Amino acid sequence: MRDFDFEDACVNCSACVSVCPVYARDFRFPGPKVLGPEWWRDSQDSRTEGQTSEFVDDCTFCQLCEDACPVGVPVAHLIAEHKRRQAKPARYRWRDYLLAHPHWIARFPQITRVPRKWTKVLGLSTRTPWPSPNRPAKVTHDLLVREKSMRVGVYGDCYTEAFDGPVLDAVIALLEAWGYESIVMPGAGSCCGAAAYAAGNAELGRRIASATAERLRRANGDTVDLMLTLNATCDSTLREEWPRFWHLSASCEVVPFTEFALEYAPLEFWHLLQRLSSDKPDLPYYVHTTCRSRVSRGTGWMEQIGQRARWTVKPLMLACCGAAGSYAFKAEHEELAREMGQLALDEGRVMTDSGTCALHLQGMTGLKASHPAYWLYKAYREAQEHVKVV
Amino acid sequence: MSWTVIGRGPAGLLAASLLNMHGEECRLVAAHEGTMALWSGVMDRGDPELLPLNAEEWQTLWTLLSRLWGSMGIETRLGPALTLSCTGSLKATFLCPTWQYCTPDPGPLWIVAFEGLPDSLQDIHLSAIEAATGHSPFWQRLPRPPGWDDSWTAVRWASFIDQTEGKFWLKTLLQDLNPRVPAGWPLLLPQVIGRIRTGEILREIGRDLRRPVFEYPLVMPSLGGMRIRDLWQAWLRNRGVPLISGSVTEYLKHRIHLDDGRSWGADHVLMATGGILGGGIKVLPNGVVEEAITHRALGQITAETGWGPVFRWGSEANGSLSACGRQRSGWDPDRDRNGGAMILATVYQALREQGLNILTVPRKGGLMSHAGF
Amino acid sequence: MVIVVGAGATGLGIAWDLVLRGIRVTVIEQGEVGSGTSGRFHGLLHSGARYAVTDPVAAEDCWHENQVLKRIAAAAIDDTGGYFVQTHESDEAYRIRWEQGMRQMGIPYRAEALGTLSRATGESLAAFRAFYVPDAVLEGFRLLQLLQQNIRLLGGDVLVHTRLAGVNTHGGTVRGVLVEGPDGQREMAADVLINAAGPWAQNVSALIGDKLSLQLSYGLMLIFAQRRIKTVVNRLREPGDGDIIVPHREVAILGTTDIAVDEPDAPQPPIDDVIKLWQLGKDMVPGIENWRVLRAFTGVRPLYAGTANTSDPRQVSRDFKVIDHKTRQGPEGAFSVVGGKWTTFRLMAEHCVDDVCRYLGAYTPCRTDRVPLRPPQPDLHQPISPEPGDQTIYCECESVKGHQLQAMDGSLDNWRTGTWFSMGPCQGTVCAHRAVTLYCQKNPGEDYASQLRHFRHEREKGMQAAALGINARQWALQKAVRFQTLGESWDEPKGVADIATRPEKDSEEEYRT
Ligand SMILES: Cc1cc2nc3c(=O)[nH]c(=O)nc-3n(C[C@H](O)[C@H](O)[C@H](O)COP(=O)(O)OP(=O)(O)OC[C@H]3O[C@@H](n4cnc5c(N)ncnc54)[C@H](O)[C@@H]3O)c2cc1C
Ligand SMILES: Cc1cc2nc3c(=O)[nH]c(=O)nc-3n(C[C@H](O)[C@H](O)[C@H](O)COP(=O)(O)OP(=O)(O)OC[C@H]3O[C@@H](n4cnc5c(N)ncnc54)[C@H](O)[C@@H]3O)c2cc1C
Ligand code: SF4
Ligand code: SF4
Repeated sequence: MRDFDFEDACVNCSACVSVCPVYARDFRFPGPKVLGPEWWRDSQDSRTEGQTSEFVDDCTFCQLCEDACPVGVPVAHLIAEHKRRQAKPARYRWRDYLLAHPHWIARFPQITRVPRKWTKVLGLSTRTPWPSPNRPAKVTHDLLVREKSMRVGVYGDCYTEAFDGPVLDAVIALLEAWGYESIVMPGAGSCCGAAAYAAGNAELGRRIASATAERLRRANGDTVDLMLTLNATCDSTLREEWPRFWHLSASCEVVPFTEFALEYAPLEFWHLLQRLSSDKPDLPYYVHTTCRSRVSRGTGWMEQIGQRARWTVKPLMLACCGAAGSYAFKAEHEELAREMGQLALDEGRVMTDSGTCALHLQGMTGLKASHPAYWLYKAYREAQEHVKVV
Repeated sequence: MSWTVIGRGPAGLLAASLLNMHGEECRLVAAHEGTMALWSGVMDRGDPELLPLNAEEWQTLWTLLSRLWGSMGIETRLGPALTLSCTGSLKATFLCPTWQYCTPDPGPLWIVAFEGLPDSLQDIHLSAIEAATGHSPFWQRLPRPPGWDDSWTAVRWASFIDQTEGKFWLKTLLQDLNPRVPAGWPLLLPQVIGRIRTGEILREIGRDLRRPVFEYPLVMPSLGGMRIRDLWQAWLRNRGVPLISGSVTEYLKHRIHLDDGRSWGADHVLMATGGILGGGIKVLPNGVVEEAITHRALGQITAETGWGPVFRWGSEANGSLSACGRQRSGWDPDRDRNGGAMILATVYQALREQGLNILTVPRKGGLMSHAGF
Repeated sequence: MVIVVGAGATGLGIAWDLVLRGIRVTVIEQGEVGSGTSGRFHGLLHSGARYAVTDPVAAEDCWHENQVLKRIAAAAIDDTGGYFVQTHESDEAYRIRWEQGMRQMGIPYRAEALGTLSRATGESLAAFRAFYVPDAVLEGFRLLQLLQQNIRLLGGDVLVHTRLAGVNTHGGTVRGVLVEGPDGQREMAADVLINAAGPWAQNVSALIGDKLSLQLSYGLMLIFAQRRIKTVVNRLREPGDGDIIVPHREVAILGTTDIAVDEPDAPQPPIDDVIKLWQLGKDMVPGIENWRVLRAFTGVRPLYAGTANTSDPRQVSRDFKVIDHKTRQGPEGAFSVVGGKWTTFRLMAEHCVDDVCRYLGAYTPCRTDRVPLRPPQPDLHQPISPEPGDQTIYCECESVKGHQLQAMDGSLDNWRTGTWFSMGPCQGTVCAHRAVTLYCQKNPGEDYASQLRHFRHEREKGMQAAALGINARQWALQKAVRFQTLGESWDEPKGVADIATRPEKDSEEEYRT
């Protein structure tokens, strides 16, 4: 059985090299073409089989290379295979094992509070900001729509559940306000497997993902047709790596929250926000579409959200902010990750569709960064207040 | 009216920009990047006799593109001129970013190559330049910079020169050579002078050396096209055009369908899918040539047909669907060296077929004031 | 002095045998080393299994030589092993005869469980039954290079671009030859002339004055961009078209066909046959349609039918023959070696040189089966570290660096087969102009534009015949780079880019003016 299509299709155009954010900054990084298709081709030759590049782990797995490739070479996935075959230095074994299980960290978010000097010993970055535990609180709110029209699942990814509680609160509250019953799936402590896969441990990734798929299947029990995601990496992992490489199914359709909002949030909701925006013009929103959502869905959804709410939106032209899952938490990537996310912004807010990217960008820019759901909900609350006052 | 443009190459980017400028609601969807990063961005015109428009229309279209690029921060030189390739041959163009050497009448040149950048102009090509310009150029090769290794492609060179250290490396070496070159001769450098700060660095070197400084193009990955691509996509994003990633498998009953199950309605579709190279035309293992989105068979390659005509196969208008760029039948920019003209002409034609004439929209106070310039 | 005509496997094998026996030899070759069939073959070091039923003599020779070559030429052999797969039950009768033949010949084989077959070969096969055999992969250019280097080390000479134009047989004995080289015509003294001209052997024998009649046939082969199969795979049935796949370095080659031809020059591969061959490959490897094809090429078999007259080239034995022209009204001192396989080149040489020794009256025993062919230094295939010279990568697909190219001699084609530049997936799209530039820097008299054009056309022959699927996109990219980026001239000799142009409005002529 073959995992790949078009693995031999490379026409040597270097389009992948032209978009790789790491290649543009890290002068030792050989780039996607060399680490992906060229390595793959060599790896089949009996003379060069087994050779790997010491730099392969510096790839963030943003998949921009794969998105660029005109002939559809699975560049990033070939690199993931390359990572898998690369012997890892013993020094980082424990750390990598831990970071490949973000849902463990999520079960015990307090681990992130260990003193910095310990983290150094473990090979963890001392400068990349670590998230602080922030679990969702239960909140209920006024409804815009009285009748519940549909039950939707919300994929409670490990990061959002443990460290970005307010985002999950916001989503649940918004869904309720829009008239949807929501259920957070598959329950705490699950992971889509992306972290392990991106770090070159495909087998572990598959195992973690299989367990989650099973939990999803049980949690769903055929009651949910649609599951919303709050993190672009989990989103595209569920929709792409799952069926393509692991032959797993999420048991229902997976849609990013952002696109759901554009399609299903009622008009009254937007009117309310528009009214607030025109009465009280606010700070601009800088939009960063994370690399993974750009690759799997494209750009423009968050911008549209902003436009619909009559906010001032400014798309950021970062290809990849450098956070890339657990990438920035590793000591050896710290410098590069900081360089990639380097930005000087005026006052404003940052809107991005991944918790780790938000954390990273917040550290880099000093501006509050969060998921669109957070900003929508915040504006919604303010608008309700505003309407009451007026 | 809702429009969908399929393809992120030059044709797709142009079509989406024009639609946006005319206030049309438009989505751009593409499976992958197009060809922009594979060439320098100099727009070839080829033989004007062969083009399907009159001189005035042409002039307007070229000006439109030049202004559009200008609004993205890409300065251009407009008008018939010649450019130099990395093997010393000359080529006719009509619109060229000012970072690139381009002139109606080539004169004596100072040309610099970089060791470790195998595409830069070599001594062996000088006789071609001499034959073309009538002057023998002044040619040097600069040694590799510290830190160079075999992973350096043009992209890495450009990142290097974007940095202070790289710029300094280049400036120091050029300053040493400068007195030996006759005054007034323009300096030509390989197209790796930064990815972001190109204009600034070229101007700075020019001031230092007191002579004009330009780039000459290299083989892909091509910095010229990358700069245009990045600025163009940013421009579209800033103007609120969604750039959707996905592969279109079908356009049926006014709906676009993607391979991952997404679908949406579109009143008009522009197919800027790039022909054989871009993926809009497939050559199947059995020799059948098929259009990817409509699944229409265009022909069959046999020993009799040969390959000559195959690269001109494609489609035109088909109801609410129109082809533009390399997907449009009848064009062969490899043979006719008119890639840029093809992009302009076919996007214009395709939009017109779908009911939008970009040349006759009301002109309020100038050519494109209506379009936000 | 012995003159050998032809620097293919046979000619170089003979020269190697001669120098080992202390006999002075000069090889003359009209083109490059390996420019004949020896550089255009399938790459299979036969175990003999293919001929176990139909051609026992060839089978036995192959098995013998297979073992010898694995010993003496290990550097040029990739010992992958091979499989014979029976795809249909209807081939059962053949299978039984085959197993009998294998046992009789003593060629080792064993049945392979179908469950482990796809793991062993790296690809799922349409197999009903499968057998392991000691087939291997023979890197032709590598072995030719080894032979040439070792011949030179022992004082033998190999003159390339030197064509035999006439033979002096004054008084019924070979006395000298007339050759045409880069510096014009000249005569060379010779006591013995050996015709190892492969498919051209009939032309050379005509010059000797005793024309042989060969039964020429060409075979078509399809190269795929990656080594998606790890071992040789043969179809277990009566030898036919498209029934062998050989992994070769980083590619895999599907072959072949057997079509009678009159001329010894390898014909341009016809696209219709390429499509047919590719389809045939599906019978054995169902997934092959999704493999990325790279190019197609042909080679001409120098088969010798002797007196047997058959119109089907597959019926002609793969056995070889050493002909002493004296025994057939020809002059004394002239020998021809015809037929055979790459696999049996050493044995052919041994037989031939035995005869030559007898003729010269000084018999020394053959040693080629014992003396290993060692790679001399520097070996361009294994980069030496710390690496000296220009580290710039010129050919990206095959990772060929500047210093490797700069170390090459001879023609550009020689640079190509010596370093493998432009042989990868992009077929020279990004490296051809770079390598030609280096070549012209090293050879000041050469003209850049015509060298590049010539090179492109040579490569294009194989590429356009296989520009199907993804490879059509590669070709489209190559054209764009050539004509739009590099500004190469469009006017190509007829028969290259447009074999034929369909009549249509915008004729070529209009645009060319
Ligand atoms: C190497 C090279 C050098 C060149 N040099 C020059 C030059 O010097 N001067 C000049 O003027 N022009 C040059 N050109 C440009 C060339 O002549 C063409 O104009 C150009 O490549 C065609 O662009 P396009 O927009 O039509 O298609 P492309 O750029 O090929 O874009 C095709 C787009 O369609 C998308 N697509 C295809 N199928 C689908 C699908 N089913 N679903 C979704 N998306 C799809 C692709 O992903 C891609 O984004 C060069 C081109 C190349 C390749
Ligand atoms: C399609 C195909 C597939 C094959 N596959 C295999 C295989 O997998 N395994 C295997 O063992 N065998 C295989 N063979 C057979 C094998 O390749 C040939 O038998 C062998 O290469 C013949 O070598 P040669 O030296 O006799 O001829 P050649 O290699 O043709 O050498 C003859 C040389 O003589 C030169 N010459 C001709 N005339 C003159 C002249 N007048 N002056 C100077 N020089 C001259 C030519 O230029 C040429 O280089 C295959 C053959 C074909 C056609
Ligand atoms: S996945 Fe991202 S970081 Fe990794 S090689 Fe591709 S573009 Fe570069
Ligand atoms: S973009 Fe795709 S085809 Fe181009 S070099 Fe990279 S992998 Fe190869």
